[in-house]
Amino acid sequence: MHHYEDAATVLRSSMVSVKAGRQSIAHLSLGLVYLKNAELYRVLYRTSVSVQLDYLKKLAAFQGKTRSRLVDLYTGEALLEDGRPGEAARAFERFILDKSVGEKYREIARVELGLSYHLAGNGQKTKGLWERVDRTDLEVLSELAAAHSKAGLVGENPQTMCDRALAMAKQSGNGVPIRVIKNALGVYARAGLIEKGLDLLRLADLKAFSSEEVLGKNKVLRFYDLSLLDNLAKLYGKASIEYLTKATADDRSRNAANYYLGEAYAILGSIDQSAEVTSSFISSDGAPTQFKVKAKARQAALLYLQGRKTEAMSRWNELLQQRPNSPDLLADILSACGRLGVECSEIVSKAVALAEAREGKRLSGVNVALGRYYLGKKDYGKTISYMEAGRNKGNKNRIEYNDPLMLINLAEAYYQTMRFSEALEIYFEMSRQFPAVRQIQVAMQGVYSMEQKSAGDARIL
Amino acid sequence: MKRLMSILVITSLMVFVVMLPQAKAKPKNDGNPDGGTMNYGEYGRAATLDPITSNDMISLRISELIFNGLVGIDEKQEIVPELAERVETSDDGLKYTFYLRQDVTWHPKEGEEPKPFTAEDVIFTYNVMMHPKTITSLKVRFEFIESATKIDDYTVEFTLKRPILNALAKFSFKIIPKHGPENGEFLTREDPFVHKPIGTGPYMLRNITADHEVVLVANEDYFQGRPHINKLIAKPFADQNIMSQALMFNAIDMIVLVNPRDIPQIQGDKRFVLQPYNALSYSFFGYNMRNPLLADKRVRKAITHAVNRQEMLDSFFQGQGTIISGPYAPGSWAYNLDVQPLPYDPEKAMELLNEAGFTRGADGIMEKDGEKLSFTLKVPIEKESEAVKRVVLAFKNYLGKIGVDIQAEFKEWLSWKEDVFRAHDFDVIFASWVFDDSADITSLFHSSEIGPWMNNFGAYANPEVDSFIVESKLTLDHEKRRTIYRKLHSILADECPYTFLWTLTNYAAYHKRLRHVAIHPYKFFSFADGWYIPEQDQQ
Repeated sequence: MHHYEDAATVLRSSMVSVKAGRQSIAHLSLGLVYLKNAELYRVLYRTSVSVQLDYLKKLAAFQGKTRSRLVDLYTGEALLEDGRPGEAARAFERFILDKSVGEKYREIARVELGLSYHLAGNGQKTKGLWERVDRTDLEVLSELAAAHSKAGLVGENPQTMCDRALAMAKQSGNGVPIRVIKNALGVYARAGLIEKGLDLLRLADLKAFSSEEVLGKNKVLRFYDLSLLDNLAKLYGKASIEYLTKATADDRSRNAANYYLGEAYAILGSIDQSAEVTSSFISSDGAPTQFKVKAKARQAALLYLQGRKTEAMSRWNELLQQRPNSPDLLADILSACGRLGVECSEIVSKAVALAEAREGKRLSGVNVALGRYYLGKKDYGKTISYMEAGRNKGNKNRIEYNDPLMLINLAEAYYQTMRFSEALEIYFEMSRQFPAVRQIQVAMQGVYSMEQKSAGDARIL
Repeated sequence: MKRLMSILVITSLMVFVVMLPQAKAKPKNDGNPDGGTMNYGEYGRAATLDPITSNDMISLRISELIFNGLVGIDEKQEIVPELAERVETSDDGLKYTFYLRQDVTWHPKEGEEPKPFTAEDVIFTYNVMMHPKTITSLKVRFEFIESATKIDDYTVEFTLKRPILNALAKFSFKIIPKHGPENGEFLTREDPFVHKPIGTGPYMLRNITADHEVVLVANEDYFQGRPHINKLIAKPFADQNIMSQALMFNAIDMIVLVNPRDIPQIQGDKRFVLQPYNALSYSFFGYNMRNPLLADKRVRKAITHAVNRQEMLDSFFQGQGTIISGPYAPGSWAYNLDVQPLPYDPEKAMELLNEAGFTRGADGIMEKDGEKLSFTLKVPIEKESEAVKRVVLAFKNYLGKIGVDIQAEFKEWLSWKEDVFRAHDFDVIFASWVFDDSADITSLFHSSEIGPWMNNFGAYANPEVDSFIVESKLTLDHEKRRTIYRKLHSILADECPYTFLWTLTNYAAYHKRLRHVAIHPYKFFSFADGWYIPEQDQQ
């Protein structure tokens, strides 16, 4: 069904009542659900960074009395998330100079400016900036906590600062602002306070906007916290590792847990740990062959990431020689190639031949993997063509019938080719299970409204 | 001296910006073969074949093949030249000067030589469109134009009342020939031209058969190069199920809109390609506010609460769609994500009817002052698929539970249009709208759009809605327009001029022997001149 959020909620709440003998299976299930969630939010985060940057750039270009004042703050945040601290710093500096915006926002910008300096290797400016920040506002305080946590500086305790911000929110009785939530999630995830983070999620309305800017009677802008998606990915990633590790304690679930643990480490970027667990899975007795083959394909991808590119390619070729007609293996290898940006024309040819020669549901995975490969190459036309071939069209936008990751990839291809309505339809359905996609929807709607050049027609269908 | 000053002033105001690349007439030297026939299945007959009087998608698809605009919009949302080879815009955004191609001819009338396309035709089209007696829903789109002036035979200047957003895109309206319509001033559905159109496009109308098939043949002199496929035939099917079977048995090569029920079957057949399009459409029950009972918002709202839309979608369309809350499709940039569909709540429906003064009569039907809540529901027969029949029946049953009587009537497509758009002889209709990317609902809900053959068929009038629509047209700020559209969504969701139902999965299906198929997400055939059939498949 791909209802990861629902599944996690149900599993977690029933964990206390699970009998001792069944706990490892429950841990495995929960670990797997969190893993899927982590993977999903990671891709959503990347999508959001790209769409938000497009949208904010267009917003910033508007000149006139009702130009947004907050746009520079959020542009800075998006640039920071995009790994461009130098450009982010310039946006924050520009924003801080504008005295017409609320002091709270300027304080937030100062915190993020400090982080930008730190990440750009200009850390001496950071300390001075952060020392002067007014900590009486809960959103500012939480932002400072998140910045400390990201910068990894010693001295201040980000968890304590977040706890204090949350206590202030509780005291105010106005609910917890989403900025505080996203900051606390990030801080707790980095500190390994997984349960605390997961508990906090129960309070959160993940579709909430970070701030609303009213610019006259009929112009209202809403801005969203981009890093919410990244923090969710991190939290779920760590939660998956925690629960899968617990599941390895039991002989019955060890193999399966190790298989997914390797994937979870890879998603979190812990390549060496992923390689270690994956090797252990491959060499274990009793693990199903089919999964061992998949693990070997992953192992080759890990080698590639470790810089052993030739070895990785020959491993993949070796596997394909052993199983030349395995759609699953081809799909796994192609997806890895797409993700890593590896040129693998021979493998692509094999996959295309297989997809054209045969029919059936198993081929859908090959088509989707081909789509992913071309998405990695930014060939959106081919991405759409292959992914559409692999899509369940009867229920084209429903995650119950289609892999949500595939839908997000397809939506990206539609977005990049300006078929915005197809992309928005996908997110509309997805928002029912994953409300945090609201930030992508709103930004994409904004880009669409400015890019579309239609004449204004409506007709009876 | 005074004259010189005027020239200087004008020159300083009119700093022109060249917007379009130079277009050149050229053959289609893309290496793809000419020849073959493509039969495509339509779900009904086109009411008219001209681009001015028609207001349905069947007509739009055909007129897209026959006619051109001054400019077009390509797949990348870029404005590209069509009949104009370039356009210059004044700095103040008030003047648009179009330099027309000089190599374009009109499709020849029988026994006549083809006539050249000139500025006269552009001026004629604009004047006809805006003439009070012309039956069209297009006027509202062009109210921003102050005047259209012929500068010379191949130059036309449009002066705008005010700068507007996306002005150039508006000039994609199709141009008709001055020598086309019998009436030289305005166009009605009685003019023979609307059934025997002449255009400049890639395909020419050859004939309409006794079975109502529209036969189009390649325009050998098409200024963008001869289209590859020799003949396109639009075949109307009264029943969507039969249309899918016709595709499966090779009787047709393409279906413009696949019945959602048949999608899995077609997807499972490797001979065919399914392509999504028309994401911006939705179905609705629309109300006639001329009926005083339906003019009461509480009655319309009660009906909406009484209908279990999700149950209907799941039961009759296998859940292949999305329930909507207002006047935009979920894929639109204008959709207000904060507005939720009114819930299925028959008790609330009864409360609203009681509040409006209705009580159950002896026959179980709600009434007030002797007036019964009994309505006619008119449904076009082309939509008479099994699923639609069930929707109609379910609607009747749901409303029966709250004491509202529905008399359903299936009407032949053209007769349904007459009843709904001309005579306004209905209480409720079941239909679907489809929109281009502009999300412009002016023609549907602005009070100035009430009248024969106008899209505001239900005579909905709300000064607040009117004022928001006007403001959205005056602004040059995209974000302001977006905010206004969100407000319109919210108001109309509450006002229920329609019971907004759902947006369905819209797919076109075609045989793989058709190649290089790009489908415009709204107009469908915009790129059909580039489609081709390999020689070995042309038989």
